[in-house]
Amino acid sequence: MNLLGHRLSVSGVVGLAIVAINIAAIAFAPWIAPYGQAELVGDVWAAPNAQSWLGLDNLGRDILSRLLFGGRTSVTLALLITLLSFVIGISLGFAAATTRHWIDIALSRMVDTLMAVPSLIMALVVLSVLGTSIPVLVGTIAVLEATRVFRVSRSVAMNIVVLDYVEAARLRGEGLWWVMRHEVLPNALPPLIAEFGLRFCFSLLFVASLSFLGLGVQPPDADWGSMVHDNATAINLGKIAPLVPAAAIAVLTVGINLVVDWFLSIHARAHGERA
Amino acid sequence: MSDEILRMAGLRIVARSEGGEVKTLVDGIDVRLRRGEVLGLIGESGAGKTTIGLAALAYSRAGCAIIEGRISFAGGNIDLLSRAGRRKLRGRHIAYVAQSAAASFNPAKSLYQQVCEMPVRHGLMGYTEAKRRAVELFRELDLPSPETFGERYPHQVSGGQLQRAMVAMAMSCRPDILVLDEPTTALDVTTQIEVLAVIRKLIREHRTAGLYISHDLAVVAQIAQRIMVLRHGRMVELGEPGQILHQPREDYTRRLVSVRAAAQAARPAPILLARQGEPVVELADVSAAYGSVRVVKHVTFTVYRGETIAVVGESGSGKSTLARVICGLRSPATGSIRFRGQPLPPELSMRSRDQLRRIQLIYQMPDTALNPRQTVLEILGRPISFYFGLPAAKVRTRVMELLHLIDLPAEFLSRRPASFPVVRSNEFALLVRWQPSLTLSSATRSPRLSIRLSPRRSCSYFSGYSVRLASATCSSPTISAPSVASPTALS
Amino acid sequence: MDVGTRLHAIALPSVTLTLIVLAHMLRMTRASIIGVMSQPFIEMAFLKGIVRWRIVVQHALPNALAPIINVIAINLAYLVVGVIVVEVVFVYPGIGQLMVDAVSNRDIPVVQACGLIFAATYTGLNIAADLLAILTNPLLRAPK
Repeated sequence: MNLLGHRLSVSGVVGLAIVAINIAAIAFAPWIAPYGQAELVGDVWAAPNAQSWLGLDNLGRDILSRLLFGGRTSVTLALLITLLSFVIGISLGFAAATTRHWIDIALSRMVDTLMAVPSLIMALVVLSVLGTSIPVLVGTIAVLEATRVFRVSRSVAMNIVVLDYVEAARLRGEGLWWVMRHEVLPNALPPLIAEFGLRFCFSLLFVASLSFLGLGVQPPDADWGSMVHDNATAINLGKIAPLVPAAAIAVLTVGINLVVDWFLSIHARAHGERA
Repeated sequence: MSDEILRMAGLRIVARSEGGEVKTLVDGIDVRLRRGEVLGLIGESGAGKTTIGLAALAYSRAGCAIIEGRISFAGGNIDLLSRAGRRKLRGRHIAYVAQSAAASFNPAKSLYQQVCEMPVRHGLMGYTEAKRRAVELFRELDLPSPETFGERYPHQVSGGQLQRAMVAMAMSCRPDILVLDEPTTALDVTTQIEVLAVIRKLIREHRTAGLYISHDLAVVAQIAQRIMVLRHGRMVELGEPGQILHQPREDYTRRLVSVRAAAQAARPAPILLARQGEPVVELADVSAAYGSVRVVKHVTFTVYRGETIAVVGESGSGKSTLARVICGLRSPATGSIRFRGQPLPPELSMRSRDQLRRIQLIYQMPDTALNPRQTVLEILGRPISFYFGLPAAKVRTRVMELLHLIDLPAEFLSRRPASFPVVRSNEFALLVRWQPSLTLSSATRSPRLSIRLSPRRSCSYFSGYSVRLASATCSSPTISAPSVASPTALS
Repeated sequence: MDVGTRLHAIALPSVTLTLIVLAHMLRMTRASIIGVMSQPFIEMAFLKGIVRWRIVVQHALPNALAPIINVIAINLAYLVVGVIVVEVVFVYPGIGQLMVDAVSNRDIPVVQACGLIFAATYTGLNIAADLLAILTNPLLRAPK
């Protein structure tokens, strides 16, 4: 089977299917969800039955509906945060590695400072001051995650900028942006692709921690990570309530990483598979 | 019969592309090799020579498969061997010398570690003894300071030296068969002759059989006892060198031979152009240092239009540094440079785009000088659109013209450097730096290309460590050593 | 507490934390090595008849180390600084726990001290990672 002209492996198909189903489900949430997000349907932590396929949560709300609506928030937030953090992290990381003068030193020390404060605490401070609107939330977490991306992209870029073809581009008179985009980036993709898959999951969980602490997604809005927190004590009673949203997060993360692996396999074909 | 070391019968190798299409790379090839015999494989790019060479090691690249044929080594079938069995054979009994040296050496390991690896891993000897043998091989291959050569890293030695180190690496286990894939094509003519002579001597001394792959008939004729001409994966003709060169039976062979002869005739003595007028580059009292270490001291010379100047010296004599100073990668500590009558800003960032265009550096090794992730169109097109601001369609036409100049088919536009044969990538790399007023290059100038570039309008500065090569290609070679105040002329 | 009891107490939190950082390090190592395995000199290593595992460990790994080292540094720092939740759940007195308590008790000097230790950890580990990354690449060690 072919997609975009490249062969799809089995895992690639599975990954794409998972991602596609997720996107479709949350896009059509208002039409396919059986109940509203905050609708009380029955007993607390009821087991799955014909009316509610995945059971009910700690307040008697339908888990399936909350998953669908919550997915809109969680997945969109996580995606936006990951993309933004990558744009910031990669640009700054490549710039630091390519220029390697005081810009590199300044950026690296700023990033060190930002990283030294525990992310949760930093986010709490910023959100308490600036409020919990979506742009602020996305911006804060993106900047904090970008520090990690900065470290990885800078280390990869440092190995690339010492090669002859980068020097040759500089000799031509190419500007910084051109060198970063056309000389460094195409050669730096494998580790960055892997990092993307993981950052998505970490962002999702970060949003969940913030919601748990009261900043972030406010109740009664659903959010996958918060659903896990809210229902956590049900584990002791042998209920599956907390496992369902956790499974949703896990499945989506696996799907994204499978797609990421497929990109990796077309980009870099390893030698010696049949040697 | 007991003398027969390799036999490939009815070999058929196909490649399965992404879209599922199957392309036959090699069809119905029979090869018979005796101990000590060298078989030359000749053909154009895409004829399947490398594929056959690799098949001798019972190896096929990813995406390719040997679907038919028997391969036997010293009487035993090797195409049916297990993976472990084939692995034991490679390097120990059948060794491969790749086209490009930079692509076969690990940049993170020293040359000793890589040359000594095979005998140690195959259990033939310990590391110290392997080192001793490596030094012997380095000496036989005429490498500078053989005792300490191995301690260097691949990026610290020149292209020609790396190529010879590759031959040393292949011979380290004294294999029975040596597959040489265009081993001298990336070298300049003088070095080519030397390396070829050494390979011949080694082969004769150790009674190694050889598969010599090349597109250059003259080179192959000097070393092979028989030549096989290939085209599109099929054998066109098989015979002795004398017969192939002077009495080719097939039309295709005849065409190849005549094309080669024409190229030979068209290659006059290397460019010895006379000084033609105004000075292009003038260096006055230039010195450069790394920290407190003076590497270039008070160098003064002038290069005139139409002239090629050679800067010759041993490793560490400061020639690369001088080139980098002229290019703007390093500021001179003292002195000044004038370019076309105007003072040249010492820093790259201070120069105008036009000045940058007119002074270009040609790198020794094309593999590292070309971005592996860019296509030919991007690599060649960028300087054109960057300097001349032409629209995309015009750029494409121009790039096709350039490709035509070095005989590369237009389909190469969307290919990446990794898929080039080495000789092409050298010429290609030269082309990329074209249209300069001043070209600085080191040690791998291809005479054929130089003629076509007709550097009547340009002048060049050439840096290398071989005096003979310098006098062969330059109009007024000069010798430079770090402490010389001004260069002295060579007679 | 003697060593045996201590190890027993640490076992469960250690396993949890290991699993958390394992994913990141594993995927980064895999991606980085696959990136290197696609380069031409690896094919040459196969043609030299070297065993696959040796090629991955001795030929590919030295070239792939830069991002791996940085991920290790990031995760190491995270294990020191960011595991408050795990400390609370498993009730072992770590630095995160100390800082949270000090914040609740308005014990400013302790908060400052903890902040300094966190900062020193991150900066120290980042510098170490940078140094190691330079050491693994001969082109960076000895410029042309």
